[in-house]
Amino acid sequence: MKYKILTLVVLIILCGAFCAGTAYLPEIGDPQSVPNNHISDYYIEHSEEDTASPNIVSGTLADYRGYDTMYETSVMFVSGLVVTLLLAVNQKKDQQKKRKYDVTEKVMGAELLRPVETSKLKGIMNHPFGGIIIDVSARLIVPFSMMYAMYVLAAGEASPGGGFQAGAVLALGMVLGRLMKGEKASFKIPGAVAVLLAGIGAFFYVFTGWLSLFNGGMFLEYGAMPFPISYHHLHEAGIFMIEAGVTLCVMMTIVGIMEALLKREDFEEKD
Amino acid sequence: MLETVNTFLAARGIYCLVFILFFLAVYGMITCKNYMKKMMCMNVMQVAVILFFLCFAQKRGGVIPILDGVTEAASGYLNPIPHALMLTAIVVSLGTTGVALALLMRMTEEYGSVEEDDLLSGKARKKKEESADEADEAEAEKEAEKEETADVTGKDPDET
Amino acid sequence: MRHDREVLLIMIMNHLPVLAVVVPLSAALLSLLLSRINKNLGKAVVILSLVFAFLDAVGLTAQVLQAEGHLIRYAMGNWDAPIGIEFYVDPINALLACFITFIAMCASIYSLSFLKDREWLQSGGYYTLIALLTVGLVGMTLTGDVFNLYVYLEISSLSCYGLIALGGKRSIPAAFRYLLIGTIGASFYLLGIGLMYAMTGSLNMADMGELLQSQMDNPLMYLVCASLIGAFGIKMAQFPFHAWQPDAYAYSHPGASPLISGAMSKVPALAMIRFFFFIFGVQNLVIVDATRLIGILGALGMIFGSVMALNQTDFRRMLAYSSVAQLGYIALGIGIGNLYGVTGSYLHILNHLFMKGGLFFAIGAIQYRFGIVNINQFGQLHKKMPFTCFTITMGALAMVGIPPTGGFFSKWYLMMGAMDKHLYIYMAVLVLSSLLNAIYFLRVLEKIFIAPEARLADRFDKEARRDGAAAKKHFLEVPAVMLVPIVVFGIGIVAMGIFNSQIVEFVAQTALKGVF
Repeated sequence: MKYKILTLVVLIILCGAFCAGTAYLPEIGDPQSVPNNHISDYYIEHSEEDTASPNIVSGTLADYRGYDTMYETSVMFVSGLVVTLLLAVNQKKDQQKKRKYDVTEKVMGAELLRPVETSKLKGIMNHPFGGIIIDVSARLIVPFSMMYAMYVLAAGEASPGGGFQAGAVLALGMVLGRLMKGEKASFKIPGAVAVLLAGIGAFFYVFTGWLSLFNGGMFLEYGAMPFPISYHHLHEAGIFMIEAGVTLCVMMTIVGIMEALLKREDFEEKD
Repeated sequence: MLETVNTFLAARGIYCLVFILFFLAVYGMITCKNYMKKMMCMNVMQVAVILFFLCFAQKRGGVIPILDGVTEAASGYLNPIPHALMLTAIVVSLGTTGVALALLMRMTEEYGSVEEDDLLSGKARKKKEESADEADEAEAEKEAEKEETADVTGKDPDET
Repeated sequence: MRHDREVLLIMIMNHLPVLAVVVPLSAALLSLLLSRINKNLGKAVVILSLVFAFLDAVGLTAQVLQAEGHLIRYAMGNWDAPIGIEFYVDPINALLACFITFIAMCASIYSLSFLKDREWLQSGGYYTLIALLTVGLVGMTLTGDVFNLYVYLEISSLSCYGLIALGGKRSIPAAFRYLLIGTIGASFYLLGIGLMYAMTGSLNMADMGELLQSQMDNPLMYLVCASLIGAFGIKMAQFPFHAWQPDAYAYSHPGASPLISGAMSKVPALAMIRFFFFIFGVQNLVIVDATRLIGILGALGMIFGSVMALNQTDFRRMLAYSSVAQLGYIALGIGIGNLYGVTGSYLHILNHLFMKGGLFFAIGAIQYRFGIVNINQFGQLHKKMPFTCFTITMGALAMVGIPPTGGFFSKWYLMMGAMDKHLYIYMAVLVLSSLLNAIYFLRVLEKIFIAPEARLADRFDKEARRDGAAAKKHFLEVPAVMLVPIVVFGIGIVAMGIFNSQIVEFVAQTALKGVF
């Protein structure tokens, strides 16, 4: 109790200091404030000619500050990898769980667990759930959502959208199918392979950088990529390439995390 | 009265609300005993930081930063930098949350609880002794080895 | 053919700053695919990429020492400084990048024996995490953009959580706690740079530094300093923020713990030096106050860490608490805040990287062979593992600060700095902390060399018994891939002492002269 009060007092003091400091922060919504003027105008005024992207946020994210986004994609990949390493493949646990799972089979080299009798498990996510209504409506949603994802990817450079959103929507289709059909889903990727593909997606981003580097430009300088097209189109192509890499990485990371969670979801129920 | 509050909120009040949200979340992270709640507080904290950055991007009467062919002046568009930065921060917080959830699931499995008190008190430790993990396994192997050597030499190895 | 090679060489020379991070990054992202094809291919590519990164960093250091104004700026995507992201390389961060890539290279080779019989996903994933951790740390030292630093901080932290959680069952709560506290640190960092962005509208360190000079009396600077002290204090496990650190260091994966404990906490320390001395400038009143606070916390941490270390029987935990104390030295140097103080601080960053790295390599080897970490079981270990004990001895001597080793010189510079500023209380704390260091490290040496022999379960005996006549003969105390890093670090600790004047003269003084 004492330490709760101490924490509270310290944090109230800190909070008070920060709130008092707001008097010196720029007024919200002031177009003449310092952060809205120093370099932000450059981005707004030059985005179209520099990056060929009328969407200034995309232009900033993928071109001016594309180097940050490369690591952002890698962060996505590394979180998927850590989740998979922690949950999906842990041989010690496999041995302990032999009562429940006694068949291990190799799918594309990854040791994956197959429950003996799926129906006996308490978890819900491994069975197909829902009846005919959910099934039919999902069948309707999945193809359209995937097509929409492609649209978001292609249009991300000119209007709201981009690789992260496209990847998430694409993954939605796969997650939905997996939840509907359980183990019997026709299109599913083992978690380990999904993470592998996420790595390849992120590498595609880095590869775009390598292309410009080998052609004599700076790293991630789209204008220096070795394609015989104009500067304008080179930037469009560069942004599209990295967005495609990001899409693959995000989609596969989400699928990988889902697969990793599905392998383990039943232990919460046990004693 | 309402007028004053409104002007204050519009000009600087949102900063204050964001800071209160931030420190409330930090308080929750420090005092909550449940790791799951701690993680939720972590998410609130990250959201507070994201809102804080987005405050800078705001311009009165500005439109979203996509060239629409109508607005000409740069001051007519919102500042794109905080948006671009916070997209990165959102992805990072998503990754952190994913890893935290995975760790929580492992913790539930290993210790049967995500309560800090259980983990620190004997209850979890009791569970810990029941099964062997990597570090423990090495010790268990060592114990087995000791027994073996004890069998061979016929005396307790710890006596040395 | 020859022409091609020259072109390639020129290309590499022009792009040294970015290649130091991008090559390990590419290897990390492809490591899983390559491991899927062949388990050893993934490991080999990551190790080769880290070797390349080390050579690259050495080349970069040589280049920056000859460059005009001792400065290399590399603009990503050819967008110049305030618009795009740039790498800002000066001698002190180039040299730290060398050391980080070196310890990462050694750790990756050293881990080979821990991952011999793992599946492709585990070995490939482990090496991916090692490479990404290195990428994050090297990027944090080299980058010249505050938000880019945040992204690097997160990528290194996330891979670090993964590596800690792979260390077994007890490491999972440790990793989770580190994740929570680390995220608080990262959020405070974001608050700090948000405030600075509000004051300047820029994200580039050099640009920001210039714009901030006229606003140093703005009360917001106090909030910025508080945020940054909180952020880097948490990340470098400085005294009041160290709660996550002992568990995380002690239970992390034994192959990765040298990298985590050696490099992970040093980079935020360097970032602190860069923010307070290079961006803000030490002549400003608010910075003097902030560094004084850091110095006081450092002094408290030195005493606290040493006292706690006295209390431990687990060698890894003892080393972790000793890290708290040693990071106190670094913070003390920042707090002294003159040329000698910061030089000592920087020198101690490098020295401590070698000392802690070497000691964690050694304890990993002992754990690998005998499965023990308890100091009381170390009796007569020098007969069984002479080289490992050599490194422990060297590390212990350096921690205490015995002259030929590196630890002596960094403490010497700290002493000179404190003397110059008439901060005699800091000198007293330095002496007291050294004495406490001597007590707990000499206790370890006493256990190793003097205490009666302990009966230990030898991994090699077990293998011999299991395999019978077919068992491999062991000529070395541990596999060669483990022994080489251990010996290299043992020698490195002494070499750091011998070459310290060169480091101070060519690296630290050249870069720091402009600041003071």
